Amino acid sequence: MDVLEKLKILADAAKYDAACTSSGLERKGEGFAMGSSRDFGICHSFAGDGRCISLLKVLMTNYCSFDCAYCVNRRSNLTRRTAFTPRELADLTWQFYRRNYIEGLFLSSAVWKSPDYTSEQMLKVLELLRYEYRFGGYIHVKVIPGTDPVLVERLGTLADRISVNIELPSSGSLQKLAPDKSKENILLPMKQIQYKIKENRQGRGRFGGIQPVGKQKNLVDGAAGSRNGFLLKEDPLQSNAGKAVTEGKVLFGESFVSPQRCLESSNTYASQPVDTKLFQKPWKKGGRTFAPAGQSTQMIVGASPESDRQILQLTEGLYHRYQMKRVFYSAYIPVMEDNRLPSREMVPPLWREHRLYQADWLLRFYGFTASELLDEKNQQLHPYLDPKCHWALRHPELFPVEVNRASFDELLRVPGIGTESAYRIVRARKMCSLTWDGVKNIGVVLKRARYFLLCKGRSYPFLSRNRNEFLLAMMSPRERALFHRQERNWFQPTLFDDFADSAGRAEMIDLKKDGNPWLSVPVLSDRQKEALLCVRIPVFG
Amino acid sequence: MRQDTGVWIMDSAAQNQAAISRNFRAVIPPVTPDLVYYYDGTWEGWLCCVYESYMAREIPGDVLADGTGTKTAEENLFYSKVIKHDMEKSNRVCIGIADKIGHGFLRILQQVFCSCIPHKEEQMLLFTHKGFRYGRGILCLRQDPVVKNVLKGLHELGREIDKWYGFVRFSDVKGILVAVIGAKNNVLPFMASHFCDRYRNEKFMIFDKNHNMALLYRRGERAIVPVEDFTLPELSEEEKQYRVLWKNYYDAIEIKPRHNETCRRTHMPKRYWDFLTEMTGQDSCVLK
Repeated sequence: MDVLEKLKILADAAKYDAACTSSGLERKGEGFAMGSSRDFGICHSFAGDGRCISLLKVLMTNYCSFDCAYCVNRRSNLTRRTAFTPRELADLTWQFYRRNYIEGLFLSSAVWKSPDYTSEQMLKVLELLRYEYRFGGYIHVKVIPGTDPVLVERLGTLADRISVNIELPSSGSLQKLAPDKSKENILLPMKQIQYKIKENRQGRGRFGGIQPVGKQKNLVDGAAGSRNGFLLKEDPLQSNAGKAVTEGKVLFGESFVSPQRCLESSNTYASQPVDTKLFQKPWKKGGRTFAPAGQSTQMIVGASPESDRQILQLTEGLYHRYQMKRVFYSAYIPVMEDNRLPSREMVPPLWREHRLYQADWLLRFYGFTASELLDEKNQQLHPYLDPKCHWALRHPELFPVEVNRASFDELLRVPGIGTESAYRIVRARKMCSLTWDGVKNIGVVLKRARYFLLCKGRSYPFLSRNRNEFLLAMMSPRERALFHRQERNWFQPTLFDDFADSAGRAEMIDLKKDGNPWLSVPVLSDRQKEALLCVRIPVFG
Repeated sequence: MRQDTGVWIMDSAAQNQAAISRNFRAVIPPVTPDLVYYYDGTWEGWLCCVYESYMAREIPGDVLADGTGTKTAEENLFYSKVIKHDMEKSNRVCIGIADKIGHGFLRILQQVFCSCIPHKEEQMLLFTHKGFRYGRGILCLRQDPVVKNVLKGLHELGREIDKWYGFVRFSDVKGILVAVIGAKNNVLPFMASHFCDRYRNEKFMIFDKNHNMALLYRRGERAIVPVEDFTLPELSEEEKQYRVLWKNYYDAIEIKPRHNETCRRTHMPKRYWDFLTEMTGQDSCVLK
């Protein structure tokens, strides 16, 4: 089989991996070796489904000895099987990179013979690229659950980002759908990578390493926090990080970094002075940085019955305790009939995936916590309102906020204001106070935000309190389309006109008079009532 | 108090002078709509327009580039001035801006000069006047329509540079990498450092066919030179093979049930498609 055939089969098999980012690492080229990495990430193309193609995303092989129900490559599936030789793949990466087709390599694999054998094959590709070709581009490598820690360490030393897929949001589902994988096999390498990154950064004199979300916990706190639900009950690495790492074969295996130096770097836990100069130049004497772009993970949404709340809590745990750079969600796409899985006719829950990513952003950049977004009563993210808007409508006591006085964090929590808008507002009001025209001119989109803001003590001029207009403002066109489409059986598509008609005029909203107007409208379906129960129209000023 | 003593006043005279110049607010002259400046289209030429505008205490209704430099004042209905290219004046303005407003401001002006917003010279002139009036805090003052326009130009230039970082497609022509792009803004000067850093072991050329400029690089040396025209020579078999591989990879990586044409076109507008080997016609990419 020639390379073209192999590429077609193995790219096709790899496409369900969600992650294809190359951001988060700035590295200049070195000497006359080709390759660099940019921290803003570069998209080289966009596939027909609109997803960015940044890395050459392929499997090393799709020969598989595992039998995970949700996966196209499981051994019980009849499909064409093949494998790249390390030389072929390294060559392909190099030639694509030269032509500026890609930003680097994303290497994953099915489990060929054993996890260790597969990892060795992947390691050979990385060694060829880094040592023979002197390739300086971005490499993302997946760890196969059950790989020997020595191999994990060697992979991490050569790759820029390393990831272990958590696959499913609970250990019960994992047992059911992926019987060959266990939570220990997944969480142990994660923990190992986390410690290795931490240790490596400390050895380089940059304390703390990656800062994924909010407050960074120190190593011991992070480890102690992992006794929870799905996360490991007994974690052999967690008791005493430094001790476990120095004693285990993690460090004294065949490491590219000399054992002496590893010992020095791991000893920093005992606050020994270390010659940090040795570790500052990753390509040179001190060896490479361990996974400089951090680690990430991915889970499948919709194949198992977990609620959004559980998923978000797990995500938050991963960010805080495992210091993930990213958690990716992948909507389950039915590929085969199996009684353990949802039926083949199921529509991929793309909308749910979208909502989860929105909530994920709120966790990482907006200072929200999972318990704020969803609680006991609200187990699922709202289908028609984005998570931040939903949160704001449940907390009318916090609004409106004054544009000229609100802090950056308060501004971030206003629906319709993102990090860029908040930053611009904070900067602009240093020069002079902002008027509504000023807010518009600096590029803040006021479609939703105007309901939650005051400017010099005044609300938005001629702000309509019509309920229909308010709801139109809260939903994006796509959300409105979804709302109409899903409710068509119960309801005419002209939902908002009907509300106006039912009262005989455009109804003016005053929450003080009728607490929850939705329940009094008889034409609403139960689902709609439930979905929109929380929508309270704010009345300010 | 101490001001009564003559000595103190004498000593502080210089200080007062400094304070006055520090707190000095340059007056922005009114715009004269009928006045048009013609300049030679170069960066230095535009700096001379700033000089002229300052010396004459006027702001023209428009500043137009006239590449030939032969335009005479009589040819136009409007009251117009032809600004001559003068290195001495332009250096003075350059130093003045860097000194009084800041280097960052000057750099932004240079970038906006390479962008393609309408009436950029006029907008930049107004922007500079405001810069002298308000200092570098002007960059925060996005409420102002002029500042908004200028920063929008900057933003668009940045966006296009980001796009071209990814969408440049090299072809291997006898060991030299060659790419053709068609950029709206003049992006080549800002792309140079990225590509020269990344392909430091290669020889390459990026030709911008809209601006007839090319970026050349060879082992540590780089240059941006005007190039009249350039067509890609006949491709080698090996090059064709890699194009086929790339095209097939591109097709294989799409999840077909999730096809979303709108999303693709948002991120990769059609004007880039002519330069992408995976999107151009099938003929060069068909399977053997």
